[in-house]
Amino acid sequence: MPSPYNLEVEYNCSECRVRADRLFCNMSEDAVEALDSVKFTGLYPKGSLLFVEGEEPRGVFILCSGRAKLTTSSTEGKTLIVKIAEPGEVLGASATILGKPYEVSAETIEPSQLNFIKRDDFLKYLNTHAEACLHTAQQLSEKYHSAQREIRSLGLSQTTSEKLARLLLDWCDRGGEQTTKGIRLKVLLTHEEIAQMIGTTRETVTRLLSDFKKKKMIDVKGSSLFVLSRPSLENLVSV
Amino acid sequence: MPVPPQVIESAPHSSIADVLSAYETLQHVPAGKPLFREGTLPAGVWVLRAGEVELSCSSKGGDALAMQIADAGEILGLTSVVSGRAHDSTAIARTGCETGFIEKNRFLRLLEEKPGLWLTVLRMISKSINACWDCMRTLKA
Repeated sequence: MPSPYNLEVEYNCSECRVRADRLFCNMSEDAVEALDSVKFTGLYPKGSLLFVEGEEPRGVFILCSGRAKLTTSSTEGKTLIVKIAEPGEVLGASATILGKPYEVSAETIEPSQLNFIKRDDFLKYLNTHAEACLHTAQQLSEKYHSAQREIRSLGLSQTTSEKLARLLLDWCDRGGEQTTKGIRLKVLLTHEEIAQMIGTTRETVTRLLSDFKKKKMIDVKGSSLFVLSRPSLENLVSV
Repeated sequence: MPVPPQVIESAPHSSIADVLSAYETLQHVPAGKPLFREGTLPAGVWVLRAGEVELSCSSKGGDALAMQIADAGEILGLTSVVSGRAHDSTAIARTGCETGFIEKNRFLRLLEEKPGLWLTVLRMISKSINACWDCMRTLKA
């Protein structure tokens, strides 16, 4: 029987084949069995809102497959993307631990499998498994370092083209596929969303991408973006 | 038979500094002196007992960006020690500071010996992340 959204679904964490590659999930059998007993597996289409900024924390979502964007709003009401979460990340952990409203909203940008753990269950789980505390701390520390990199890029970049070049280089490092044509990036974000990531307008992103294309730094084919000359993008970056 | 999981008694937030005080080396850091520099591997954590520390990062060209001011009670270098990654920022004393330094491996052993400290550590890291989201709201707006 075909699985919903063509996802390869894994209902049992103990049998998950990619567990060892995941920072949070790579725990001992005992800890993973305990996790299995408190989590609820859910399959979500693209565009599903998992939690909303300002909402009281209900619990955490472990992103097993798919991707999600984490957004926040500026005081002027502008939507800003603070992070694209990748498989293996735990979403909503800081709000759940602090018992304070979610600081960001989370929405899937592709069909995703997520394991949800209710707040009380997650806190009890942490209280009884020091190993889970260590893995949660490592996961949160990674998120902190990633946010610091983003702050550095935003705060020290001199121009918007530098911010965009930096974002493309970051994507190359994270999931770029080397092809004969160049480094292929699967772009799941619209120009509007890219603008929300680097703090500019949709029009500027469209203009800059067209400019990069004219200069043969990139090429776009459907949802694929090819980085033709990585050194040219690197030359734009001073941070 | 599997060993039943150990129940961790969470340390009250205010008591972490008291617990750590028995293991730290007190240091006076004069204003302007760095505690650690961006790109270096973490030597340990610094419990800030008094004073203020500025966390900043810099570009290849030498431009600096102030990211956060840490006050007394905060633990500096925590995320780098937990993740084993190099420091992402430089910490420089803004005023004369009193710090309690705990070497990295000693601190990690302490967390193993006193798992009740974990939840407090998790809360501290969570607060640092929230501070980052605030900073990003300002920079992206």
